Amino acid sequence: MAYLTEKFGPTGGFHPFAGAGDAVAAARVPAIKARSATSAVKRRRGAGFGTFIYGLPLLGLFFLSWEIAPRLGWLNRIFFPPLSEVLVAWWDLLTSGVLVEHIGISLQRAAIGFALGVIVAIPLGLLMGRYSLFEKVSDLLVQTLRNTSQFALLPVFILLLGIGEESKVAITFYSSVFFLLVNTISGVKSVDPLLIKAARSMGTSDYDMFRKIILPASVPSIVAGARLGVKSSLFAVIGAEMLAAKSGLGFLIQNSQLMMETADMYAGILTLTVIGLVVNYLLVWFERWATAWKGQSEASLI
Amino acid sequence: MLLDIIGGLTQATSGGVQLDGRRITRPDPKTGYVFQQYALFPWRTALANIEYALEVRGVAKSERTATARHLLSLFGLAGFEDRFPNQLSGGMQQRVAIARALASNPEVLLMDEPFAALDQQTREILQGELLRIWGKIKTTVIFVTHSIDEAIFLADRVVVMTARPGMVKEIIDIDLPRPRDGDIRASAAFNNHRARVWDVLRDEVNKAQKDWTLSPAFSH
Repeated sequence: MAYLTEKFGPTGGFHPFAGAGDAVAAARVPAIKARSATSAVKRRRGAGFGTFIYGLPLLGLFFLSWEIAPRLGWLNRIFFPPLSEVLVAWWDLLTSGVLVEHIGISLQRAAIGFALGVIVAIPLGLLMGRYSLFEKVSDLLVQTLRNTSQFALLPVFILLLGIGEESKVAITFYSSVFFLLVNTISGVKSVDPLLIKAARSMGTSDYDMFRKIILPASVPSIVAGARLGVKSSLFAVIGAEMLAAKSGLGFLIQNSQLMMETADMYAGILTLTVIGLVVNYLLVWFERWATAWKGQSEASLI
Repeated sequence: MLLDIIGGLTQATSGGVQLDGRRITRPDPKTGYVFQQYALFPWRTALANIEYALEVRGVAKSERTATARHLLSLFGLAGFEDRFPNQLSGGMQQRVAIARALASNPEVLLMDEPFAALDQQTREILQGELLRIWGKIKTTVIFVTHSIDEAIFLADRVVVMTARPGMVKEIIDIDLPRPRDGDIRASAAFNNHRARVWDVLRDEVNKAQKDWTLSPAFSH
């Protein structure tokens, strides 16, 4: 976790009318945030549309040199077809329906694996975060498993589950489940004890304590874990498809390279980039929606 | 700590708490607890926070919404139903927290320095409001405070506790007439009570001061 996430301090809302400084402890919900390009994207969005405009010229220059360099012979056209040829190849793949099919298969594999990760990690994380004995017993196993590369395990998954869908789903599951688990545990552990005390004073049962207090209080942390998990699932499915598959975007990119259809290869890569951007945008939106109660001061912090 | 024991959240090392002859060992439906730091659930709106107390006791949705709305309007918070706690000022949050504690119609309301985190003006406004609402529901209130004025202004009886260990030092009856308003603070009777409580408390304050000066950082 240390290399991918970082912990932010108390992020309670600002109370303009509160008197003493210690009054501002009502919403102490620390959350784990991704230290990745996503937070930069969010900040940029927070800073406004202007930053996006500033970024355009350099991006334009990048695309322009992609177009010109192969035409002028600075780059080998066979390895680096001009952008326009890539876009034509992309259009052909799109209109023939091939691209949509590959995208659908890749997203389906990632989605099933991720969904299984959610189903397993959240209940498990709630228990592990709440009952220290449960965590003590299972922590070492979890640490061992989550530090084993999912790609190193792909041959194992193929041996056990075959070359078909199951092994791809297994690797996407494996890639997301630990982000979800670790962030759920940390979310549960950082629930304000005062809220638990208040809930107890009103006669909350153990079951309601999980459902109505601990789970909602952990949502910001879980959602942050879900963001990392979704991206990790997507990366894993592309990798797995490159190594062992007959369909999917990873297969398309890898296969085009083998066939020296480099325009198709770049078309596949660009498609992945666009999917990455869209997915990230959706996740950011979802995170804001799910943590709307934390207020404006928090939104700008993310 | 005392309130935690009465509220059934902690077990006493010796002795016990009885409410109407029943021994309290876990949170009782007949007690309501108000905390210094409000302890509102930040993901729930003001209305849903108050409803929570009824929700976990299995009250039907329509009934608990009606009760919660009634309580909000009683505290002058009609129109703030859908605000989240961090969209409310400290004084408003504490009003919601008191309303939540009152939702289950408790016979004993436990208040742990509920106004300590508020500025002086808000504090006095809420003291007045507490008396006004208490006038309607007449429930027993056990109110912990460090403010002598607050204690005298609100209470029928002031129980002065010793510093450490916390034991009852003296119980002082406050016979000020009700209903009380802010002007009463300037009355001679109020001043007499203040001097009396202060007298009882002085020893304890001195003791605490001595603890202080003993620590090397504060010695001079």
